[in-house]
Amino acid sequence: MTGGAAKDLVRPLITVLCLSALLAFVYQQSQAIDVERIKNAQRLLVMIESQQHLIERDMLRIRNGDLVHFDSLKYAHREMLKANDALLHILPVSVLDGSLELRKSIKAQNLAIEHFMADQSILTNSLRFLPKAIAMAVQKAPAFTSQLYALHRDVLHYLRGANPTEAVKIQQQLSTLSGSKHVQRHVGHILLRTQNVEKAIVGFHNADVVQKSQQISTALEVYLAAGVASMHRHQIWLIVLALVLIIYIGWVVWRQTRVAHDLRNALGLVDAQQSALDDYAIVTIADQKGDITYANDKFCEISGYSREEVIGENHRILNSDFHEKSFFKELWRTIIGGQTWHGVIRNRCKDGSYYWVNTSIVPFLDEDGKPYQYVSIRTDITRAIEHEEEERQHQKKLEHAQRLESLGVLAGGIAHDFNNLLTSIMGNAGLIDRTIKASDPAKDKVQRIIDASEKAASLCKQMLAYSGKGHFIVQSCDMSLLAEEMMELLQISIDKNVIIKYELTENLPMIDADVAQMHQVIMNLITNANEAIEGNSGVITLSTGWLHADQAYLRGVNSEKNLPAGDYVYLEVSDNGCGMEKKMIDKIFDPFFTTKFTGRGLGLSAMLGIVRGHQGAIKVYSELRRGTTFKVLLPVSDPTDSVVSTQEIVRAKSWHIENGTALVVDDEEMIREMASVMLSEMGFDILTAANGLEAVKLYPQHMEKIKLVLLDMSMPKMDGEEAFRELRRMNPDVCVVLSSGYNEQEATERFKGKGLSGFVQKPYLPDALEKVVSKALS
Amino acid sequence: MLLRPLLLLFIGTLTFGYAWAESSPDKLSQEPVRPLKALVVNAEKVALGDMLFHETRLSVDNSISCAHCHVLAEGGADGLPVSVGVNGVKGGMNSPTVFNAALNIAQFWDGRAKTLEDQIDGPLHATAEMASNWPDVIKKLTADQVYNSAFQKLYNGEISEQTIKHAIAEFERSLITVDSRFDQYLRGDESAINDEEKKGYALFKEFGCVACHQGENVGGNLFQTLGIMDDYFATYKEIKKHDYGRFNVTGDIMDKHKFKVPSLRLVTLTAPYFHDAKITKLEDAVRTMGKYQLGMIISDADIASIIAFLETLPGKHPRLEKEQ
Repeated sequence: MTGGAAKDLVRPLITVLCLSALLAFVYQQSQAIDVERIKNAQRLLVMIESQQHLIERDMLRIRNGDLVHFDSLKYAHREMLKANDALLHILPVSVLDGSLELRKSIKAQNLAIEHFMADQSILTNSLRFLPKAIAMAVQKAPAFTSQLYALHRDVLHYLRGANPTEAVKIQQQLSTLSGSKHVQRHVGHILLRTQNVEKAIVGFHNADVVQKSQQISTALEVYLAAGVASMHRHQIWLIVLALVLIIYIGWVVWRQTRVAHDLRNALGLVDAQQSALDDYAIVTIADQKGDITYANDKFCEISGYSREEVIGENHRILNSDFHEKSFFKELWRTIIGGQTWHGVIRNRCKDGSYYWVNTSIVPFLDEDGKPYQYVSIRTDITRAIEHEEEERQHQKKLEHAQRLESLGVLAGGIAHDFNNLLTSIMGNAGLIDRTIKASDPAKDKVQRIIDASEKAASLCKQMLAYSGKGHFIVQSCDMSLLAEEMMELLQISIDKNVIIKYELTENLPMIDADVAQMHQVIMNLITNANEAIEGNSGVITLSTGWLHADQAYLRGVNSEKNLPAGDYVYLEVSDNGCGMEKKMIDKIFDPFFTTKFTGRGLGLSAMLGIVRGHQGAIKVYSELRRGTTFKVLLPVSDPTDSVVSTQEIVRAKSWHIENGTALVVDDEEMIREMASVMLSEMGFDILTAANGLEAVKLYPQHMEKIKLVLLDMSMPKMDGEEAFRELRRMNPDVCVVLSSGYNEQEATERFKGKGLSGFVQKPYLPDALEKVVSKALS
Repeated sequence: MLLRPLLLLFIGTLTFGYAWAESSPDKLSQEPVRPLKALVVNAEKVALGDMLFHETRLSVDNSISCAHCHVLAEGGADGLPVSVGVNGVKGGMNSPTVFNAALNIAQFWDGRAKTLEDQIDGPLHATAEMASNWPDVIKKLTADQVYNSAFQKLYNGEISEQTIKHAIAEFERSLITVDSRFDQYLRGDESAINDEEKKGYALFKEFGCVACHQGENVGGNLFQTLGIMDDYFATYKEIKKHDYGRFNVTGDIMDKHKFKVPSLRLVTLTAPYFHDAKITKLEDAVRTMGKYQLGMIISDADIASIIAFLETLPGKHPRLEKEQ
C-alpha cells in the first residue's frame, strides 16, 4: 500500500526535479556569456592597438634623437607583457586559440623593443664618438685623412638610407684602415647597430599586431553575437521549459485535485455506507487475539457497554454460556483459516440480559494471507428469536387446546347420545312414576331409576360442561356473596385439621355466571385444596377480588382463546399442601387425568370448561411441598350485554290442550316415542317426522291442525335450524319449541329474533316439557 | 582585474610625465634623466607588506626575511658580494637594491620576473636563500592572529600566495627615494647641486653613460650587453650560466651576456657592483664601465666628478638611512 503511494509521489517528483534541473542548466547556459568580460577583452585589444602606435612613434622619435630616454618604451614593454598575459585569461577559450598568433607577435615585439633599446643606445654613443675618433685618427695618421673623411662621409651617407651595399663598401674601406682601433670599433658598431635598429623597427611593425588584434576583436564580436544569440535562444528555451514545468505542475495539481475530489466522493460514499452499516448492524473489529479494537455505536447501544469499556477487552466478555466450547472452537478454526464465519450467537449484555445476533465474522488478510484483524458484522435478532419462542409456546398451547377440544367434542358427542338415551329412560320412568300409586312397591324402584337417571344426567352435564356445551343459566351475581352462601357447605366438605380463611372483597363488580356452576367450581377447588393438604393441618385461603388484567398477565392463563384485557373478578383458592411440579400443572386440566385414587379425573377439566364457557380463565401457581393457588378469572359483566336468561323452573300445575296437533321432529325413534307419549298426555294429537325434510313435507299438509312443533336441533338431511326456517316461511306464526342436549344459550343463539317460542333441554322430565309447552302456547 | 588600474596608471603616468615634461623649463624637459615621483599605494597594505618584508617565517627555518638581503637602512642591499641564505648558504649573484626597484623594466639581472610580485617567488623558493614554499608560509602566517586580523581587514581574510605577494610588492612600491638633490635641480632648482656635480653630470652625458643609464631610474629600463667595446668575460676563469644573462630567458643568441642595466639612483650606497660583485669601489666601477661599455679610459679627475654627480642621486625615504 505504501509502495503504491510512494510510486505516485516519486514519479511526478522525479519529473519535476528533472525539469527543474534542465531549467537550471538552461538558465546556467543562458548566463554563460560574460558580456562584461568580452567588453574588457575588447578594451584590452583597443589598448594594445593604441600602444602599438605609441611604441612605433617613440622608437622613431628616439631614432631621430627627439626622445632621449627609454622610459616610455619601458612602460610600453611592461604593459605589452601584461596585456599578453591578460589576453590568456580574458579571452574565451574558443577565441583564445585564434589569439595565439597575436600573442606570439606581441612577444616578438617585446623582444624587438629590448633589442631596439640596446642597439640604439650603442648606436647613439658610437655616432657621437665617431667624429672624435675620426679626428683622433687623422691626427695620428694624417696619411689616411682623405680616406678617413671619405669613410666618415660614407658612414653618414649610409646613415640616411641604411643601404646594405653601402655597408659592404664601408666594410671594405674599414679593412684598409687598419690603424685606428676606435674608428674601427665605432664604425663597426654603427653599421651593426643601425642594421639591428632598423630590423627591430621593421620587425616591430611587421608583427602587424594591430591587424591581428582587430581580427581577434572581430572574432570577439562574432563570439559575443553568437553568445548573445545563444543566450536569447536559451532564454526562449528557459521560458518554454518554465512554461512546461508550470503546465506540468498545474496538470499534476489538477489531477491531484481530481483524485482528491474522487477520493472525497468515495470517502463520502464509504462514510455513508459506514453509517448505514453502523445504523443497521453491530460492528466490531478485533485483532488477531480477539481483543476488540473498534466497536460502533450500535454495539454499545445493544450490549450496554461503553466504547472505552470494551476496547482492549476480548470478545469473551460477551459470552452468555449458551453455546458449547466446540461452537467457538469451530468459529475460530474457520476465521483463522481465512474464511468468513456465519452463525447465530447469544451474547450477554453488560447488565446480564441476553441478546441474539446473526453474525458474520470476516477475517482481513495481510500480504501473506494471514488474518491480521477480524471484522464482525451482526444484526440483532433477539426479537425474532423471542417471537419464535413465543410462537412455539403459542403453538403448543394451541395444540393443547385443540387436543382438549377434540376430547371435548368426543365427550360432548358421547354425552349427547347418552343424553338421548337418558331422555328415554328418565322420560319413561317419569311416566311410569305418574301412573303408579304411592303405595305400589314399584314406586321406590321407579324413584331409584329416576334418581339414578338424574345422577347419570348430572354426569352428562358435567361432561357437557367440560366440553363447554353445558346448559347455563346465566345471571348477574356477586362472587363474594356466592362464596359466602357456601360457607357452611364448604366447612363440612373439608377435613378437621384444615381451616378456611375467607378474604372476600365487598362490593365486587358483578359477573354474568351460572350460579350452580359457580358453586360447583368453588366446591371443586376447595375439595382439591383439601385433598392436597393430605390430612395434615393446613390452611386454605379463599379470596375474592377484582383486578385489571393486561395482555401480559393474560398470556399465562389457561383459557379458551386470548382473552381481551380488561377488568376481571377473581376467585382465588390457596392451600399450603403438597404442591405440584410444573409438569403436573400442565396436565391437571386434561380430562380423565387424576392423582386421586377414586377420581374420574373430570373435576378440573369440567371446571375449566365452565370457566371457559363464562369467557374466563384459570391461573395456577404451585410449588412442590409449599402449596398451590388456583385463581379463577371471570370478566366483569358489561351492563350493556343482554343476557339471555331463563327464569327458574317453576313447577306449574298440569297443563292441558283441548284440541291440536303436535309435530314431533327428532331423528331418534326413542325420543320421538317418548315425546309423543308426553304430548299426548297433554292432549295433543301427534305427528312425527324423523328429520327436518320430512317435517317440512308434513307440515303444509296439516298446517291448520298443528299447534306446536317440537323440533330437535341436530338431524340428518335437514337440521333444526333449516327446518325452522322453512316452517316459518310457510307459517310465520308457527309455534316451535326447540329441544337439544346442548347448551341452551348456544342452541337458541341461532334462533335469536326469529320467533322461537321455547326451548327444552334434553333430557327432560314431563313436567319440564309441560312447562315449556304451556308457556309457548300461552 | 589589475589590468584596468595599471592601464590607467600607465596612461596617467605617461600623460603626466609628458605634461610635466612639456610644462617645465625647456632645458630640463629635454634631459635624459628624469625626476622620481612616488607611486600611488595603499598605506595599510604597505604596512602589512612592511611586516611581511621583515618576516623571517618566510624562510624555511624562520631565520631569513627579505630584509636580510635587502637591508633598508643600508640602501636596500646587503653590501655583500653575494647574499647568504638559510644555513649560511651563499647565493650566486649580487643582490640589487629594493629601493626604486618598482620602476625597473623587470626584476633580476636577467629580467626573468616581469613584476615585483613575480620576483618574490625567486628568493622564497631558492635553496640558497629562503628555501621555503607557499603552503608552509601560509600555514605559519595563518597561525598568527596579527596576520589573521590584518589580512581579514585588507584582503577579506584571504592569506594566499597572491595576497602575500601583493602586500610585499605594495610595500616595495612605496620605497621610492624621491626628492634627491639632482631631482630638485631637474625641477628647476639650479642651486640644488654644485658646479662639480654639474660638471660630473655633463661628463656623464658626454661620455655616453647616459645612453643606458637614463630615465627616471637612471637606468633599469633596458637590457644591455656587458662588454660592448671589449669582452668583459675574457678574464673569467669560468663562465657560469648566470653570466649569460638575458639569453637564459629569451634564448636569443643576440641576448648573450645581456643584463638589465641597473639603476644608479642609490649606486653610491650599494657596493659591490655588477652582477658578479667583482668591483667593490665605485671608482673602479666607473672605470670598468668606461672601458668595456664606452671603449675609453676615464681620468681620475673625471671619475671624481662623475662620482660627485652620482652622489646627488640618492633621494629621501624614511626607511633609508645611511651614515655617510
